[in-house]
Amino acid sequence: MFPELSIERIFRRELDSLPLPAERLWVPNRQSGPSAIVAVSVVCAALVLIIAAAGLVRDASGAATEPRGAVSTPTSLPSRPTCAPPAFGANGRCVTFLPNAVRNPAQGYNLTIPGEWRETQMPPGTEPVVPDRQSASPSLTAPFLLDRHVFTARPAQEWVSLTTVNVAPAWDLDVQVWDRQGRSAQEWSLTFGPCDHTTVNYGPVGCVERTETIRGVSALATTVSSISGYQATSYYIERGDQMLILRYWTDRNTPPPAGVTNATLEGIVHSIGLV
Amino acid sequence: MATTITTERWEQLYRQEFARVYRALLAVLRDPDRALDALQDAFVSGLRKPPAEDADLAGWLFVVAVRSGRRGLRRPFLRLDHARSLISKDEIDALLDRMEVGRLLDGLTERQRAMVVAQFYLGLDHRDIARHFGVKTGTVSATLAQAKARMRAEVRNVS
Repeated sequence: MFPELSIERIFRRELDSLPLPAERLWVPNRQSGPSAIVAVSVVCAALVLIIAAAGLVRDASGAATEPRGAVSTPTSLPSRPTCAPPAFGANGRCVTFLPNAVRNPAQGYNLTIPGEWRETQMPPGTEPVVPDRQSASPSLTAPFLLDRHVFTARPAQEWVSLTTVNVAPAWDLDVQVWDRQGRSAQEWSLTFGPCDHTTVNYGPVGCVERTETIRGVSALATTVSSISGYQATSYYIERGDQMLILRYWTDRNTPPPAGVTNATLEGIVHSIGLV
Repeated sequence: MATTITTERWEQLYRQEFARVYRALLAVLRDPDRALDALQDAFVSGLRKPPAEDADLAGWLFVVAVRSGRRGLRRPFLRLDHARSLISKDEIDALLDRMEVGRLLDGLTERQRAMVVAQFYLGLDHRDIARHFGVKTGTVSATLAQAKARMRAEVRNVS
């Protein structure tokens, strides 16, 4: 029998990696004739004059009737759409950026990140380390770390102010590829990950471990919670001699960027396609 | 039947479905410019006469675009900022040839490819495919059966 279920997965996995054209090539752009432009311009100019005139009248009357120091509130403001982040208002509409495909052909994976996300560079010379074991874990430095990309929704300045030496800020996604040195995903998570049994002594929850299938690939997922309010979630995927790790931190003491939630991060992780 | 899909809603739906339908068209037409033209023609067709309901828009766009891709229609009244795709037909061909799916589809006719992609990638069932393509369900079943037989043979040849 034809393996239709697996073939559907293969279709999705492979075709989802096909490149898209630049947005400017396909986003609809309404065309107006010159007469329409003139008409619209005239109407806009007239509106501006009316609003300016109304403002002058109001200022004049307000100066006489309102007490000194009172704040004048316009009776009517141009209506602006109320957009739930990550959407933002533009030309009277709520707009969201289209998601971006991130391809890493060298390490054989693709990700889809929301349009307002971007890749950011960790400070030069930094390597991810096991908490509290920085000096005791020489095996975790290069060349065993093969590749690392950090994705964020924060503006550059905000991001820099939150970054510590090695750890991407809360609400970012850290994607690392390591030489797994013969370790399984579980062994890795228990020795080098935030679930390291020698260091997980914080928080009442400890390490919660589960196995998930992400787009046909088995992944070990661990979550470590702390009393202070942060939580580290890591996904470990064995790939030949390599270990692909997707990790993010959430922290109730660090406000997430607008529109970013656990679901956003999980969505990015679960968009991964392995090629 | 009167439709309630406004122009704004149509644009929104188009943006939502673009990536999926464009990739499906790439798999069928194997030509980025043709896929883009065809999909934009489908978008304009939808502006003129939108489908009756929001549901299954990807299937509607896909089939209208496949037909447009065959006819080579041009967009007449709504201008889309349009330049040639940055990736060439040869690059897409090479990319598809490296993919398991690309190799499987390569041995099929364009019509077979369209139905296979509609089923396996866009997730349409036989009845939906028949409705969109304007053919009987039996025709879809037969076409897909032939396509699957060819794909099986391709798999056997490779292994």
